[in-house]
Amino acid sequence: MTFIISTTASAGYRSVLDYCLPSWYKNSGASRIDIHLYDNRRGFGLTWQYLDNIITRCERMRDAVHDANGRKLLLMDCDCLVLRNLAEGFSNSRPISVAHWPEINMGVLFFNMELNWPFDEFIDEFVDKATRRCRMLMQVSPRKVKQHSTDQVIMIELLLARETAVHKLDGKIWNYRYSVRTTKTELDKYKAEMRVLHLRVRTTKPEFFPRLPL
Amino acid sequence: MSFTICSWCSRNYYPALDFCLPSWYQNSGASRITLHLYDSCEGKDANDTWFLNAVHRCKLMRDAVREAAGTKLLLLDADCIVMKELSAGFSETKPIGVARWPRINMGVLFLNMTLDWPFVEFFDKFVERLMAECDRLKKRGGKWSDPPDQAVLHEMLHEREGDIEKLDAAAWNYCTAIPVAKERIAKHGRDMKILHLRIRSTDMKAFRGLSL
Repeated sequence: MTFIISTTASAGYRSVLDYCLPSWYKNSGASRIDIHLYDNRRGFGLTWQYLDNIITRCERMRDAVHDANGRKLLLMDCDCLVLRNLAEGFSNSRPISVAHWPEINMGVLFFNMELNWPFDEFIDEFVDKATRRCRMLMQVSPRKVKQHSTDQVIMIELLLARETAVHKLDGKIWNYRYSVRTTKTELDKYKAEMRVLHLRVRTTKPEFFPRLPL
Repeated sequence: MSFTICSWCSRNYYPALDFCLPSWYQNSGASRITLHLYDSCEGKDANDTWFLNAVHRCKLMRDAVREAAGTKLLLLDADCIVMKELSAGFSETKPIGVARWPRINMGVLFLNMTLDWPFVEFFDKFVERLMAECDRLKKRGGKWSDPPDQAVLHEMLHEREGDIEKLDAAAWNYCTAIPVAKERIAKHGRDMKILHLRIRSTDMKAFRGLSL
């Protein structure tokens, strides 16, 4: 079964790519990997940059979905480590697969675009709403922006409204969320089954991503 | 200026990719990198295997060209290190840029598909002629002096010489073997934009512990 992995990476995340990308071509089973690269725009402080990056990222996600027309597409954050083959993440009956329902994490999104479903309309609506929200936050209260309060909440809102189209994957296996509190014992417990380990590198501190004892 | 780097890689070449890929996103200035991954096909013998894989790779190349219509596309071998920004490799007047002329090397090909030129037809024809050439060679015992994909592309590009931008090979496709790469960089590195390590799939251990 062939599928495409698509990701976005800003200039600050190149070292994260160094760490994660080899695991994608070695372990995922993907037939194609698309990396969308962009530079951080300067000015107006870190929060403004954070929001601006989200807009760029969303636009690139939209391009990826439009380009993948009729194929299987995995949209994945560049700070994800792939430990095993990912083909089974695509459901044959439901168009979208996600982990961590209902607090969905949009770092790992499986789109089975071989199924007849309005993917283009869905991603267009997502990008439109997320962009508008970011632009509003840029003008109104950039200092109050919390991480994941922007594109992620829009994605959750859209997916919750389409629950019958969503296949729910086990979060511990398909999008294991790493944090500084994750112990080696806990990692070892799930390592045998884990497919994606999401390192969740902070936008402002990509240089501090962990060197994992895997 | 935005452009895409597109490459192909069988499992055998992963050590080359490990070594070279970071230089692509760090140095090239590309806005997108597309990697096509495939399992090597197994033929009846070594030559047959080579033909099958060459045709498969060139079909992927053709499909990539079809999909990238209207954009700038750099077709790059997985064993190429990008040393500097590459956007100047795309000519604004000539559709195809190659380094090394008259004997072309297909490891580095700049396609400016924002120009009006029959790219899709060209690569359709390329695959068609390559398949015919492989069949012809198979009937003659499978031996060849030049790799058939390279030979066919060479012939086709020479038929279109007026449309080809000839880039300086020393800068745009500096070919070297790995054992001497370090000294070549010390000597000519200032001008190099692409260092092509040109390694066989069976020699991948050369990347172990390598630093350039």
